[in-house]
Amino acid sequence: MESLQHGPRQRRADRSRIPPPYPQDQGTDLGVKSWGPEQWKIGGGTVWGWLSYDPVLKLVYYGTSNPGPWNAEQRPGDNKWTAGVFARDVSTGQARWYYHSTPHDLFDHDDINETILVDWPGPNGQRIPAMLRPSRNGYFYVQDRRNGRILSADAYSFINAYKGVDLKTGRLIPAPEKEPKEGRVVRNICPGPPGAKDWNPSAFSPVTGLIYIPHLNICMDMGAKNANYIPGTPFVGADVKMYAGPGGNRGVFTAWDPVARRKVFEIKEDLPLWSPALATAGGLVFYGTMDGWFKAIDARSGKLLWQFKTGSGIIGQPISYRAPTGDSTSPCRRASAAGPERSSRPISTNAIRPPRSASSTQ
Amino acid sequence: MSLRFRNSTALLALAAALWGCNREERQTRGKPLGETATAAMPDTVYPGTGNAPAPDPRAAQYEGNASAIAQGQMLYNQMNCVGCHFHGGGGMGVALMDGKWRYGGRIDQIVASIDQGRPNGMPAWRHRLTEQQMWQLAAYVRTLSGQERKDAVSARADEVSNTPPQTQTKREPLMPADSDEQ
Repeated sequence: MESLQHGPRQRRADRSRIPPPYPQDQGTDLGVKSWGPEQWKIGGGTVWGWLSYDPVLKLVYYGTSNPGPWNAEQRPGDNKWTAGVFARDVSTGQARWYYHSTPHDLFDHDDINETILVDWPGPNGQRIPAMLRPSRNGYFYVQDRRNGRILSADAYSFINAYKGVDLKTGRLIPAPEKEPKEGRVVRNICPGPPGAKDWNPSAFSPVTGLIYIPHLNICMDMGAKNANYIPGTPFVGADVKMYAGPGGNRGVFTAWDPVARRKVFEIKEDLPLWSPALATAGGLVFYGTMDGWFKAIDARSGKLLWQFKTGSGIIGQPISYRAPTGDSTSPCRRASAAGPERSSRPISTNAIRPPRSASSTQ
Repeated sequence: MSLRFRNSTALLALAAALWGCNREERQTRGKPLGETATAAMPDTVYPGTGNAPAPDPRAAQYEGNASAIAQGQMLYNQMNCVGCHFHGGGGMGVALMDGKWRYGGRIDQIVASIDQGRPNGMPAWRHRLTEQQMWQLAAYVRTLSGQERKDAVSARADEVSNTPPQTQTKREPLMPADSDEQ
């Protein structure tokens, strides 16, 4: 369980040319000092999500997972370097900056979700190298990817576990009434442990300028209890009961305008959405549901244009490619794979045409 | 006090006198196994439709014993069983609240699974738990599918409860796990 994210070897991060953007992430041996004695050694913070690479800045970006155990009373402190995002020099591995999205995580809100690199419209027509992150904690972060500084952080899902992100200090503002304590059950915490969104990546469309986020609307009751560290067994210390959030639907597909910082449309799905999204230049967006529907929607209106029932729930990544016949439309292939049954039968979507208005804007 | 209630109290007392002794019996702490101890449990896994081995006589000490079940309930949380099997519903580990048992649902067969470990994630608890603790755990595990007497189980759970009290758990008929599942 010893994690390379923690401990003294992170000292190198502090000698980087560009200091971390916020004071709480600056200093020495924070990966040791922000824990109880020796706890960083068994504190989780693994990397199991997505990596993004910027060939100009030569930086690799990735997020780290939640601290262990879930019972936060057992690990006093901010618990670095868990539940945050790193930028590292690709040739040396040295950390360039780190941003702690969820300090002292209370609810298993890892920060391993995807990092989408975009050119951001800055003042005076400048282009800022930025990154977009629909985070587990429910905030949509836009950050300057050169130094980690937050440009905006807005809730894209229903949140009551936090009160916002302080843009001055970069710190997440907790909601004290939602803090689980040992022997006490806290009801109605939103979002639940899988967060407002889990690992399944969203899709950015340069055509519409929107980001399409397949995500969750799940709240929970949580009771904390003492967890024993026994290698080979889950180190959790929490009893969790999950249920649908406001509205009663467990899944949501949200189209988000990152510049205007607002939701453009949302599609409510009964089951939690664990399928990644795919946006095509033809003005279509694809995603799948746990009951096996593979859907194509209009990228601007969200209108359902086509759907196909597959043999199992969909959690696989849809991909699009040009067929060797030279057909100019893009067939779409995806693997339907929830659980042990897998079917990789390709689905041809040649017949789908986006509505006139959408295709004419390209 | 109504006549009906008095009658049922008398009946209960009679029942307790007849077969309630085992429910209340308490045991002192069991001895840990030595480092080189051989398997404490007989091999309870057998191929095909062969006959199951005869039940282990130790089962009588633990089945229907309220103290053993309560100890097992505590251990179930402390040993992180709950992290995989949850409170019977299953998660990373198999569900324990149904009647399906891949390696047998008799108490001695469950003890063997705890002792030896099983493929795909179930650790072997030999040398980590005493033999007594494994039996206590197995006694509690059987309550999750309603196998134990209702007067011996705990009427309330230790956790955020999203299941009815164990006194209301329906008894699931035991059956081998089907090959059509997974």
